[in-house]
Amino acid sequence: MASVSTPRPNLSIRPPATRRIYRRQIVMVNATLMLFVVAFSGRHALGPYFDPVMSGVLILVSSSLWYLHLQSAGMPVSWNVVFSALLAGQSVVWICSHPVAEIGDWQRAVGCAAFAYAMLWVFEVHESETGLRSLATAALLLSIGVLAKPPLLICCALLTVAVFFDERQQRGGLLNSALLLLTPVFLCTIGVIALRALAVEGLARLDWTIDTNSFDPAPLHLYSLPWQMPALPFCAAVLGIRLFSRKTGSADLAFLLLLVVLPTLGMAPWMPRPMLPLDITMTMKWGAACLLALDPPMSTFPRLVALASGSYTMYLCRG
Amino acid sequence: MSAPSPARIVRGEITSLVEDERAALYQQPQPRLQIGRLLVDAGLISDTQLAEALRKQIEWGSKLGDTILGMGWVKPLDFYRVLARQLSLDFVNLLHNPADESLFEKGEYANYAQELYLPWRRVDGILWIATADPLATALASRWASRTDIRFVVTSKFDIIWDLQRVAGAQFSEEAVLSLAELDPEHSARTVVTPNQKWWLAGLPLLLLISTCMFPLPTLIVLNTLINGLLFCSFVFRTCLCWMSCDDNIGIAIQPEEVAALHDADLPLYTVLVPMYKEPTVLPILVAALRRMDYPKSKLDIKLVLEEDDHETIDAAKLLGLPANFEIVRVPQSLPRTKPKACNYALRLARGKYLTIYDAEDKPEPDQLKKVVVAFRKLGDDAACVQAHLNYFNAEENWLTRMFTLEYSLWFDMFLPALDELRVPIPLGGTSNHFDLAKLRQVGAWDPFNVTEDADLGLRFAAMGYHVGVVNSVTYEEANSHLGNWIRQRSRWIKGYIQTWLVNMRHPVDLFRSVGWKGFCSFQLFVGGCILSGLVYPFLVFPFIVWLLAGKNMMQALFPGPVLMISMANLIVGNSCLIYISMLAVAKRRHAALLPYALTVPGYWALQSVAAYKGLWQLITNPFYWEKTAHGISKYTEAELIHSAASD
Repeated sequence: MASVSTPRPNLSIRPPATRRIYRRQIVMVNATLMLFVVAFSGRHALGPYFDPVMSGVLILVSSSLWYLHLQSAGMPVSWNVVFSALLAGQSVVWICSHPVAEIGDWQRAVGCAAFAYAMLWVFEVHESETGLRSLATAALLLSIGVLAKPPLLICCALLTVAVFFDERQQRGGLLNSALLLLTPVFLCTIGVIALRALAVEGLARLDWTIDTNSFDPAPLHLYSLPWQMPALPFCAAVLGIRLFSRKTGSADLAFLLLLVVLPTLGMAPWMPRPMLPLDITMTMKWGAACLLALDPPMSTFPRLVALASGSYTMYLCRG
Repeated sequence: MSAPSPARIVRGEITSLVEDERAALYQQPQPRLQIGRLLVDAGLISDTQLAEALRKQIEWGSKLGDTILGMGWVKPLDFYRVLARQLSLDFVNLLHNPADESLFEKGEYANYAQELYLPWRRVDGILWIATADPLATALASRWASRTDIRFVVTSKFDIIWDLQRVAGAQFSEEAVLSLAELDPEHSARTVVTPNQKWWLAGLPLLLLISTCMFPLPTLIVLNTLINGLLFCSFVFRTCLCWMSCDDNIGIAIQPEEVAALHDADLPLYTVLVPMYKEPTVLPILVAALRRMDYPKSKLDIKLVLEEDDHETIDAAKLLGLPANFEIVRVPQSLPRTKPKACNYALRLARGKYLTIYDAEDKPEPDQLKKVVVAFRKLGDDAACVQAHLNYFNAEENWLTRMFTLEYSLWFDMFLPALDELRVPIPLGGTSNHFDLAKLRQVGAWDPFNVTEDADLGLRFAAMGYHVGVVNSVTYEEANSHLGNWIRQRSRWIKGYIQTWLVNMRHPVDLFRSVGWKGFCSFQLFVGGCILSGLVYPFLVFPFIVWLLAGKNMMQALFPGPVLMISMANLIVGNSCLIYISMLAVAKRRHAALLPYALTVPGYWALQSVAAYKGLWQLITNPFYWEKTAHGISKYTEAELIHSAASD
């Protein structure tokens, strides 16, 4: 009788070596996420140290994940280490140069940025992959987006509809495409509202609130934009690199639109829970990081440009 | 019916080849004996048909006789008479002159069925063998050293008929008891083992005591456990669907691969069609099988009918089926289940592969070829290949739409992902294609399990075999009547509970045999399916109370944490189910069904009704097979007309 361990004939288009790398990455991703869960579940024990510890974990998790993304895209290990350290450094500089009371804002901004990162990644995957998976991933990600701030969620939902507009014929029309894309986020929103209506305190603290918020964001000024948006040099550099290396696609277009629409929508006075400049900065920075990791530059000069602009962003992060 | 007396045989009414002639018959081709020419001379086929048959014979790599019989041009009885004349042997009609059953050897029954021969009579020390294929090499090697053997020709149907007459009771007994006796731990004959009885009695008692002593903590712990399992089950199913959104998942056999197959290299394929009182839909399947892109001479199709089901037997006879179709009459015995009928027919199966179709099935014409390619690709550890199932009457009403959504979810999303993960696959009821040797090795179907297919998938996995999913579809008739649907669904859930109970008799053994992935997937997939059906009302109840009475009433009735867990699960669970149903129909490109996925929660409520019926029946009548009526759809009539036209 054949044993359980009999090797399976290779029916996949994916070579076995790549599969092994993916398996290692999955283990690493799970390990880093577990770290996050452990830190979160120990919040009562940590008391006042929870925010700094959680921030440390967030920095570690985010830079590790970016490292893995860069690695899977073919970036050499040494450059991976440098870029991941740069991302971690930017965060450390920001945290060290701001009062502890603002750490909560930074953590929420990281959540928003991670959401934007994932969405841009899916947009890029959609270009290279046929089938339903990228659409399903986008829709499921959008449903997780109810945990992010509403302006970002709305922006991403609009961008998703635009990016997946070409799917409408395959999926039986606009209504079906819209249902496929927006049903999870719609159901999650209903779910959150229902749980809030039940006054379930634990979930009521989610950032998605339907109540209007009294927060009044500081206005953005064009002349001080680099100081208010320290991520701009890094974004410009990454976009420039991708433009010159002719690697631009729908993810880049979506990123540009996000850059334009998010500040406008995010600071609208009628918006529940508006975006802080910090949220926008983080979203821009992580969005650019995503674009860099999607198809990293293969020669030294663009890498140095990205590194220099990232370092300058780190310098601006001092506030 | 009286047999000819040995005296008459001795007088020469039955002639035989003398020893030298028989040796010559086996050793060299004899150009003077041309069966095709004899058939033409007898006016049974035309010259054109002979030319066509000769061409097909080369193409299919079959014997000319099998080719002509497979094409349905000659009645089997006529053909075998001519064959006897060609070989200068006598023809015997076993219906009129049955074999002497004292000559039958019990250990040889399988060989009789496989090689189509029977020991017919012994006269004056000479053993007369009735065979449908006197030139078969297997027969030649079997009797090469014997000088006391003579042959007569008979029809293969007569052999099967006479074999069943003699061995039918034994076949029937084996069909019921072989698994229960050989491997009782994997048989559902015992619904609950003594150990399980202790658990089933002890746990509620413990729960009762605990509830009396610590009502709130007990309620919270119980709720958390059940909801935690359910939540994991929903997330698991969503992950499976997400995996299956990839176009490259599963065994995708391309048309070029099918085209590259040589018909001559294809093996004999047995098709079992178990039916009970389904005369109306029979023509749909027969037409679909006639359309199959597979050499007709290599199809061994068995319509497996209950002995007392005269209406279906008569309907089958009226269809004038070609010789590759065969009616197997299953003797009456309990339990009267489909797996028992299949086990019975398995004793007569001759193919390398075997598949099962339901009476109203419409498999895609290239399905058998795709499966052959799939088996070749999967290698030696592949025991079964499951084809996708879907419905031809999806648009009939809400129920059929929901059923189609569910089947798309099951066969297009869940099973390919389970295959990718290499975990046990609960097989679907039909269109599962087996490697016959491996099917026999694992003990075939459990006649006491009413979802014998799901159980078999798990048994294959436990024995280290691989079950694959191939990209070919069989279209069936979805249940369009609620009562019929509930009957069918309650049987499925009852069978799932049986399967879960059987496999959980020794959880550690199960864990060892299928690994942690297989064990978890079994709990989340099979266990989750049972659990979700049974606890759904308890999830919906708080929600309805909330809608009707407001949250104050809720807080009085349900403590905060219990309420929160239930509500979260209700929302997450239903959202997951709605969305994965949408993905499934999007993948199947049933665009019109997509909005109906929003009504899936209603369908799950019905599922719950069926789950409780199934549970009740498991307690009161565990082996009862709730028959699903087929042919009740308004689309069936159109299918029948279509079948008639295609014939």
